[in-house]
Amino acid sequence: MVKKVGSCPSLATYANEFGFLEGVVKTHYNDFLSSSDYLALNECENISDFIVQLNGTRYCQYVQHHRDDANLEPSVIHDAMMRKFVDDYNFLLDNAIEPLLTFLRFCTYGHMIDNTILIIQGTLQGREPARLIKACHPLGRFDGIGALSTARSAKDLYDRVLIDTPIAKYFEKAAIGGSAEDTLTDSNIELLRNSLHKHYLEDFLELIKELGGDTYDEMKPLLDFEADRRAINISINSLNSDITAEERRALMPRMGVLFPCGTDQLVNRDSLQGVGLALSRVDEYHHIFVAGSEDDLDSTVSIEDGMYKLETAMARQAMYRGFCFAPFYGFFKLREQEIRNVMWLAERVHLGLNEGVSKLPIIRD
Amino acid sequence: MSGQDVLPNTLPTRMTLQRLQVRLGAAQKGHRLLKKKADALTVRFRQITKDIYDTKMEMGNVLKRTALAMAETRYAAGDISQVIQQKVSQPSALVRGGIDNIAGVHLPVFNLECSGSTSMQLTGLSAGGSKIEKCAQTHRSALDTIVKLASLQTSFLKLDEVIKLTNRRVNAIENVVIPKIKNTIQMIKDHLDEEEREEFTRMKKIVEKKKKRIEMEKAALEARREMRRLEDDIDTLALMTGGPLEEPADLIGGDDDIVF
Repeated sequence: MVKKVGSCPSLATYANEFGFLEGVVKTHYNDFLSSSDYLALNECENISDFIVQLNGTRYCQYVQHHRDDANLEPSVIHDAMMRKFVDDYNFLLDNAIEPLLTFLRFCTYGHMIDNTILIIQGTLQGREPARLIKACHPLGRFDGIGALSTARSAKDLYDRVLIDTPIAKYFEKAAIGGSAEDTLTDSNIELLRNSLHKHYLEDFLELIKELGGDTYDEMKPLLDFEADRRAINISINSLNSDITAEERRALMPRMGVLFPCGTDQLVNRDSLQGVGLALSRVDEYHHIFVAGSEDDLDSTVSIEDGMYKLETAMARQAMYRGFCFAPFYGFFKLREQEIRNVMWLAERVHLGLNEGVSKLPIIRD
Repeated sequence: MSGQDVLPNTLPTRMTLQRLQVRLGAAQKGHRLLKKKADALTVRFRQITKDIYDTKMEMGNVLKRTALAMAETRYAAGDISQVIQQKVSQPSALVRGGIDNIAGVHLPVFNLECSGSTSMQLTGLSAGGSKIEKCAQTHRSALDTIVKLASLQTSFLKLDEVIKLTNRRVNAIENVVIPKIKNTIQMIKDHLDEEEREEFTRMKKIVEKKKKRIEMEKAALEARREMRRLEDDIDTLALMTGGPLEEPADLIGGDDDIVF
């Protein structure tokens, strides 16, 4: 369903068309906090200290006006980091031309899906629209987002707002055995969310196939990993729920290293060991699973942590590539990971605990 | 003993005394009972204080655990709080009020009722589901502790008030009512004794006077009797001498042997 965005950026004109932005993104790599920054942040006593530390990094202009406030919450830092992320992203977006523009927009569709789901849920519960929009992820905002909450019924919602958004086609695809309007009920909304993400990932894969070349070669492993992570998480998290195998299968992206054999196995497993068995063919995932499945309250490494570590490593590799769009995606993923990392540390610091740095995937040495 | 220590408007009569004695007995019994109640309440109060202390200590740990679990969840699953909030349609935990009866004092008790609501289900299906589950569990236990603490604190306040009231009553009975009754009884007794003594003295005086009169009468009688006897004697003498003795001077005069 991807509209023609032009074929692979040819090497002859790549530097001319996208070289500047690639350079910009690669300088952003140096903006990431280094391991010594993390150690310094870990030594902080409170959030004010934290901000003083961040002041010595590239985040300085986003946190400096908070310096003198007392009783700061970790969310302040989240907001500041998110602002920088949005600014950097918007800079890229403003200067990009097709097909990079489409590619960059695709990176945010995940947030857009989450925001839409959030607003649908809130609307179904009759919440205040203004507050819902405030709660949305800033990168997932789109023009019609304010109108989402004006819709009174699911049909309204689809007809008026969603149909104009890039994610409308996912809604159409996600509506299995019915029209798109029927899917917007409260009960299956979490299934809908995951179904949307699945279609989004598959569509993303289509896009990079179309772009082809190095972009495809570099992006495929990243998207495959994303798909596999979804599949694994879904199968683990749905172990104790009443989701049927068929429903589960419908949520698994039809791509990834595990697809199709591994996915088939995952769908039919109903215990944690079974999931482990299904993962045993892929070394990386199996390692993560073994390390993370001894997951109790004391363990510091969970499956999610392992996944984040692997993702960070892959995204960092992608940052080094040239003449393709992978660095943009890598930047996206790394920035998200950095926000997660810093928030984790900030919350630990806020609680007065200072031993959280070891489990974080450090982006830059 | 000043006038204010006695009950006002009491007539110092035996009937009042009797009534007051009954009252004194009742007051003492009431005092004993109230004292017992106060003791029972104090025991409970101490227990609650200890429980509050324990719960508060526990609370610190529990809340820290919840905050940690929340941080972990945020790390693994992103900021899910909005997602969860928008999903909630009915409360999954309800606090119900009950009443506990301690020595006639109704203490409010809060009970937490967790319904196995499914509003959480499938949240974080694609990321952090187990973390969210763990986070929910720790929060549920934290909520349990909070409700327990709230229950204890409310009981604490209420008990404190009741204990103060009871102690005040005990003290009032002990230091005001009972002494007052006792004083009144003493006063009445004094009064009655005084009256008795007065009566006694009066009786004594009367008896004395009566005795005197009897004696006087006796003496008068005696005198009269003596006189009569004398008269009789005179009469007899007159008879003996012939003729009534009319002129005793003549008697003397007629005797020549008498020389003056």
